[in-house]
Amino acid sequence: MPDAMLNCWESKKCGREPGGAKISELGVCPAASEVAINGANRGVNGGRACWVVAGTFCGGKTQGTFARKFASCLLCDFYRRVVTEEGAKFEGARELRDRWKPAAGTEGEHHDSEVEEMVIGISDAFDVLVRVAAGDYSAKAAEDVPNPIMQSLARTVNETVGRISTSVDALQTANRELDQKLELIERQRMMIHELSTPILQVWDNVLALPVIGVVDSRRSAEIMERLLTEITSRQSRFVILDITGVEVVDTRTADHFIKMVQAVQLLGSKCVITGIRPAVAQTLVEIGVDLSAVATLRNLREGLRECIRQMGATALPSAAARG
Amino acid sequence: MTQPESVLLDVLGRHLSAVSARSVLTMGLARAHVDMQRPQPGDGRRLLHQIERGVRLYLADREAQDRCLRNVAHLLESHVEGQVEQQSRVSLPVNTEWDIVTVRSAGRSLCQQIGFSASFQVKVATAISELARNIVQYAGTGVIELATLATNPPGIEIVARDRGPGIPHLATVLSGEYRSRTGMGMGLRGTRNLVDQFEIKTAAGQGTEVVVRAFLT
Amino acid sequence: MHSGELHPQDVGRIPIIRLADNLVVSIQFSLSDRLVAQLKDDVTHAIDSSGALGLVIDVSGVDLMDSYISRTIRDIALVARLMGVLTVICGVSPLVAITLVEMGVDLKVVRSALNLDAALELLQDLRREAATRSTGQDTSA
Repeated sequence: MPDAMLNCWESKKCGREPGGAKISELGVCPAASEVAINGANRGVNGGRACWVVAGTFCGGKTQGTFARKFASCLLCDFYRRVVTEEGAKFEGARELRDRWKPAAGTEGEHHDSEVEEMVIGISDAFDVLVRVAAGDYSAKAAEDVPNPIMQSLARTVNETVGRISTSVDALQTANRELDQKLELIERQRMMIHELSTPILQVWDNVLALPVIGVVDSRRSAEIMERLLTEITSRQSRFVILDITGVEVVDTRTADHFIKMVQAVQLLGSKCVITGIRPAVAQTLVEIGVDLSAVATLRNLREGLRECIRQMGATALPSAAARG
Repeated sequence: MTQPESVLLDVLGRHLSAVSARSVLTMGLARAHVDMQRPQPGDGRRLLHQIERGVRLYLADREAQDRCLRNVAHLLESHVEGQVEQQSRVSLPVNTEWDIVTVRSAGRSLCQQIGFSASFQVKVATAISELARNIVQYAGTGVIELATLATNPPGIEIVARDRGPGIPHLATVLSGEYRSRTGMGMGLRGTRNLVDQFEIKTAAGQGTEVVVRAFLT
Repeated sequence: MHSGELHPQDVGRIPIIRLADNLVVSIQFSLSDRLVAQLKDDVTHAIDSSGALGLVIDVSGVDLMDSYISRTIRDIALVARLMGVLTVICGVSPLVAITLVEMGVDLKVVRSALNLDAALELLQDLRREAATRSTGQDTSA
């Protein structure tokens, strides 16, 4: 045994193990001296199978025969601990009985095999439930038992555990799927984010940036960085900032646009704003936003026409030069 | 399990069931690539983000989510980023004109280490440059302190301190009406425009302390 | 993006190159204050001695421009204009542009161009425009 597993006397501190504090008073506990079940559930003698040993002394009271004492054992934390620790390898009342038959009537009790059979059946069911409580759904109660009531009990318990196990599995799968979906949504959100402001090369040397929706500081900072990087890498001389898709322009939004235009001009490109809606234009004048420093044109087409006109006026566009 | 982990689990457990709490923490640590044995700068921020996803998933009530996340954020600040913050707070002397370049390079590499974006790096380096120049030009000597902030969103703190003559007519300087021959008004105002938080304490003959903070948007 | 800045002590002076009618200053490293101040003197001197008509300041190697540097560039442009020379700045990096705009730095007196070619072209256009205006042949545009 690589690990020393806890025996009942170490857990209960009854002092009735060999060499214990109370043996002079109460004698050695049968669980501690029952060599016939030594090793059961990895315990020393009956140290981890104490519930099947008659005459044990737990909680200051001598316990009776198995059938009598088992009711209190079912609620005992040590019993539950052993069930959980042993899991599928747990040796319950049924397995232990087959291995070790206590001499009937040695305690002067009438040995009723019918009652014993029922208690073992209940104990089977209990073992399963204890394991389920600990999150182990693989446990099964023995169904091929002679007592029909115990048979139905075992079947019902197994069926119920099976169903719980299925729904837990389904829940876990759903959880995983939900997680994957969340990840997908996150990815899509990023994609939409990227797509929401495409930068289009509409003509040689001309980039167009159709802005749609709400422009807050964060988005404007992102747009600006992408736009400027694009201008530098393509060496585009003109930028059309089309805001047809922007329904509301307040002082802040206008400020973002003005900054964008200024930054583009700092790089050495020309920037025009197009597509200012009538309502937006009215509001801008009313709230006193000054866009006079920025070139504005009616729509994207006019913007492009102006860019081409200016290119023709200054130098040959490379498209014409290439033919 | 490390001590911060069990404390985190404990806090999560107050808002979620034991199983959910464990799952949120485990998933969070894995997704954020955080090794609690060796916390790195930025860990707390990434972990908080991942835990937030979990908490929003498992807790239905928005208010409960926020309550839980506030506790977690507070905890991460003291347990995870706390150690890191100590390590990354640096104090650099500013005595000569050369130090301006040295100090702003230090600020930039600090941002780089933490993984802040290139635009944020330039923003921070420029602010440091302005503050360091003010020290050299008006006080002669001083120090620049740099520290990362384990806030959400994370940020960086720059403290410029000198024992120079102080800035007379501070309000005028900051309003933009004052123009120095050397361009200090522009420097301070530019810095204020660049960062998210700007505090300045100055007194004639006592020196000047400028504290600025910038946060990732 | 430069990972580290070249220490200004390693650099003596920024070279000023004569290219046809223009002077070209190409700054390929981070600027220290002294270097910037030195440049202002050197450019003024070069304009005087060369009789150049235009000035191009290429800042493509500059990854950080604070108020002092941008102010000096503006001063250089203002001095040059008083001496009859137009200044065009080129190669401003996106991050520098964003920072300048965020700070509220005013560089309107200096025209910008995307690259050296565009800068020289722009200078030529500006000179032609000025010539047309002064001869009074075309006032409609």
